[in-house]
Amino acid sequence: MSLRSYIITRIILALPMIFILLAVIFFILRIIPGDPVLAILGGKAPIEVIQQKRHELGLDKPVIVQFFDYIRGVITGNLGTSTLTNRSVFEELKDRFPATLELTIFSFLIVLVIGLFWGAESAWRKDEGLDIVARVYSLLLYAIPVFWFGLILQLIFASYLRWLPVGGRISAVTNFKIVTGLYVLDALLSKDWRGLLDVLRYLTLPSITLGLVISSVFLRMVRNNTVLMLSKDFVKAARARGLRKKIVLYGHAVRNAFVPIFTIMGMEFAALLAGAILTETTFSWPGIGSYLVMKIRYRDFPAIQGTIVFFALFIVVISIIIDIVNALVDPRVRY
Amino acid sequence: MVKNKSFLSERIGEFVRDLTGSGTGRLTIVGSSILIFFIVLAIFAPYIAPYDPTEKVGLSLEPPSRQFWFGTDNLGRDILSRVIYGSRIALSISFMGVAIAFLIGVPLGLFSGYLGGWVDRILTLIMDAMYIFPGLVLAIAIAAVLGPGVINISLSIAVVYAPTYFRIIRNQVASVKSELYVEAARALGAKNWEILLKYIFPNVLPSVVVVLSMNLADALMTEAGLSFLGLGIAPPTPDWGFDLSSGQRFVLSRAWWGILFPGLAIVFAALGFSMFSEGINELLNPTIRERR
Amino acid sequence: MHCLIVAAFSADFIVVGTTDKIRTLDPANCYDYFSSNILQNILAGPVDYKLGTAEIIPWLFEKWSVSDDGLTYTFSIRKGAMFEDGTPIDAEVFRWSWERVLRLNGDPAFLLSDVIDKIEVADQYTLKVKLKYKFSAFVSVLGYTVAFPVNPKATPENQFLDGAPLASGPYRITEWQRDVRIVLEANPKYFGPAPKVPKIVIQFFENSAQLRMALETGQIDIAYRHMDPRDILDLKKMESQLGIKVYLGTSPQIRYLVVNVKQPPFDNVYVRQVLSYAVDRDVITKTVFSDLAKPLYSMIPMGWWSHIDAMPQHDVKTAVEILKKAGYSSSNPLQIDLWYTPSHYGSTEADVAQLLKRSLEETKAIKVNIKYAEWSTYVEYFLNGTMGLFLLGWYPDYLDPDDYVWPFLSESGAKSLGSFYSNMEVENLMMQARGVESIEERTKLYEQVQKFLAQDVPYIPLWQGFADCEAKANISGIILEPTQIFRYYVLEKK
Repeated sequence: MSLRSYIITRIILALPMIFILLAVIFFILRIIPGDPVLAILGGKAPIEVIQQKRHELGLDKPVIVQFFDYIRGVITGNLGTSTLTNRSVFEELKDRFPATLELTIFSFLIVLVIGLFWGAESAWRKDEGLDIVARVYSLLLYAIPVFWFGLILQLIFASYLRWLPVGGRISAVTNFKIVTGLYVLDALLSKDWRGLLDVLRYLTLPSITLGLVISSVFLRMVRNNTVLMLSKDFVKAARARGLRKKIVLYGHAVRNAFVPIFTIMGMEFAALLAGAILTETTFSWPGIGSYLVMKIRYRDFPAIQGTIVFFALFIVVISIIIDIVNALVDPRVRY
Repeated sequence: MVKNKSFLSERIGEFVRDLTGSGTGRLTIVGSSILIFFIVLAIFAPYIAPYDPTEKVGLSLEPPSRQFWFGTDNLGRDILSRVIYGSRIALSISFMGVAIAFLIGVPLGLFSGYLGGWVDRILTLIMDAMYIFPGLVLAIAIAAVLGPGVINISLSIAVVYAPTYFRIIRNQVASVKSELYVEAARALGAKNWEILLKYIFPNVLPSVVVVLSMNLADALMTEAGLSFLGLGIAPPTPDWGFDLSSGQRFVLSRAWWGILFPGLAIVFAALGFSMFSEGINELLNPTIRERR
Repeated sequence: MHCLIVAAFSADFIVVGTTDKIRTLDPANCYDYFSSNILQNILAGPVDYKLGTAEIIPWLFEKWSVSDDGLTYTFSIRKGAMFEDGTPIDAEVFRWSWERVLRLNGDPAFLLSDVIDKIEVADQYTLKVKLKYKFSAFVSVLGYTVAFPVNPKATPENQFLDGAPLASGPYRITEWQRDVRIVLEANPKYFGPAPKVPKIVIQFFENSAQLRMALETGQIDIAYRHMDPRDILDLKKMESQLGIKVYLGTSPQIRYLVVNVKQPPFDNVYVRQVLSYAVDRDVITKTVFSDLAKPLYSMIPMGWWSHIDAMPQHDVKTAVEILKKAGYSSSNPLQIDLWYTPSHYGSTEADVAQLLKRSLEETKAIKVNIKYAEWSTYVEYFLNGTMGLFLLGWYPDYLDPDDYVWPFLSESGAKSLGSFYSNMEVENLMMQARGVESIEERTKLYEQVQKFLAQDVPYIPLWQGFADCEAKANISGIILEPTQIFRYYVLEKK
């Protein structure tokens, strides 16, 4: 199979998956009693008014009709209108996505640094002090709920020590031009150094919380895969030839463990998105995760569905990228 | 069959040796001791807990003292007793959730892998779709549908983990079913269900047990996350996640004990589960051990 | 880090923190407290309230008269008021805005559509409105933002506005990053006095703990809505130490239990009366609200004309007696479900439910099972009569006792609140009160209505809410109005 046809097949295979996710979420949400009209007007407006509004929003149509209306919308790029704010869900997600992306990128950097370097080093010194600490670390952080960890960090660094802000994304006084929505990048673009410092301070606690918690699995995987590679003959040979540690470890062992490590990296990125739901809620971070929690509370169906479609697309895209990169690196994957 | 038996006894011997000898074995022992500790807490909660966990026994938000080791919450209830009783909900939901996931995922995986064809393809597609999706999001949606209650929360956790079992079982069945002894059994006129239950299922069981133990820790954390977001058991039943989220409100009144102890309980229980599963994993599955 | 904190002390602007959210800034669709309050600071309304009171004063409507049959209102509009782009506000603007409200049928539209029959422009500055029925509280309804005029030139005619409306009030919106912050700056075209602080920045937070920390650490100057009661008390204790001042005020919000009079065992009036004796309001207001909220014994809030303490005091003995009469005892307890909703009324709701359970079970002959559902499910459940006993709250749409009895005790109102109560005698009393203007006469009628409430017990009033605001000591001008309008334009910073 050529690379191009592999990519095309991979994308076509992803389509029914997205459809199924959409269907599952759509019907799950429709089983819940209650709808957004009730959430807003319940107990206030006369019942006739409520029924009329339901009719206007198409909430009294059969569920299956609503489902196909919705699918038609998604195909044309219309994720619907939030019943809570009357805005296009796509617009709302677009507003909030940069926050989540920024948090995810910074957490991911933390995950990468900890995972790759510590993982490789402890594989090199298997069963020595550093390795044992790494294993304890990954066991322990795996067992810590991300929201609790966030609370504890908040308590120590924001409440008691007051080094860092409690929550939010930017100070009221900081004012630079928002272009990309990634505040760090925007501050850099407008050369507002004080603003940069400000947004970095807000970013610190949430990204450390998320990054450390997610790093535990990645660290372990990198270590295990590197250990495996270090036991392979060609690595042993390289070692025997007297090559420097840096070259043997990173040039041979880690590089040859690339496919599994890269696959896990992709999965960890997806895990970061899920972790973002609880982290964003803990730190008032105005991203997609806290958006979803808020919208579930109000049963804002179009918004919840839109967010889920968004999550699904994002994850599918990541898994496609992983497969493609792996196929590029290791042609055997294609078959 | 005979060969299988000796293989098993060999394994058990190896298992015991590993358990006492290696670092992994010690991990398993520590992990299972933590687990047994929490199981004992859960079963004998009424005898261990100093107070009734739902009754007001002290003033509101009393700091830890000799009378109340973990302090009291805002309604004057003993946090130690609530943490002890909370292990009941935590353990029962994680065990039930994983058990239900097992009961959904394993049979579906067996049939899907064995039958093949379009049923297999559709089931695989659905399960793959659910598998790649962030578990917490799925659990939140389902828990919101089903509403509070032990069974309902277990179900929503089960839906998250069922695809894992499905995938493992299905792939193994698909590869095992063309093996010689299965072919032979089929040639001898064995029925489909007989082949599944007698020949295939025992072969795929060990890997399932490993996944099962790994999922317990995840299930526990998912339950805590759900109840932290307000999608758990109805109060006043003690629940670590719920107590944590209500304790969060009083952290700034310097009532740190409200979040510290329920949180530590979650961490220790999850740690117990994951140490246990890590150990079991390496001891039971030599193939996985090799890979690591 | 230090330079940032210094900057926050600048007198040019005030930073306000809140856990509320802005849903929409289109008056035709705006039906939540915080969005309305922003509108009250950027738009001028037909009427306003005298500073610090609930007394209606003319605003864009200079004066008005009512026809003898009580059905036609004639309003004269103030000259010289305009939007920030210079568009004058006249009768045509009002007609356009109100007809748009009726046409778009947004969330609060029923407040106008229920009562308005026809809107006419008599001349450029005179508006005539015909009502469907006599309604003595009509001008009170006009105090709500649904009646605030919008600029026809800058507002979509047939759909809701997505962004911010053009200002006609003290402030205009210069920046709005949803759920992050909104910036208000003085509106130079406003006909009234200019705001004392030219710029207000409102920052949004997810929970009350963060709000408190932000105030303590100087990230914000004012915390307005929703601090946990215990945090309020804590801050009050540490006022001088932290350089913070805590403001407390009254609120027209009431909280109560709804009893579904059609569902067994609550269809038995004795059972409902038992509940009204057995609930312990004091323990709730004390434990959960640190005595900031006050126990309430009627649906009409304390401090309002016509309020009487109609409901019985906490009395376990009487409750036990009635229970015995109804055939319940500790061996044959009354089994009931008590419902609450976890996030709609803030984080304290679960505690309230648990305390109610405790106080009802004090009778030893009632067994309470607590259940909960998320808000929209909850509403579905009470509309279709699933729930028998549940916690609910009320925030008035207009400031008149009518809004505390009609929506509850009229047959149509009780249906939409899940009590399914119906009593023609009460309905007639309330109708009569709607038709008379004299407060004395209306008071007598409402007192009778409240006695029916205590006797039939379709609702059990529990407590009356409170308003609070916490600010740095250098902020002045904070007024917690009985109308709940938070006026940013009277704030000052030293």
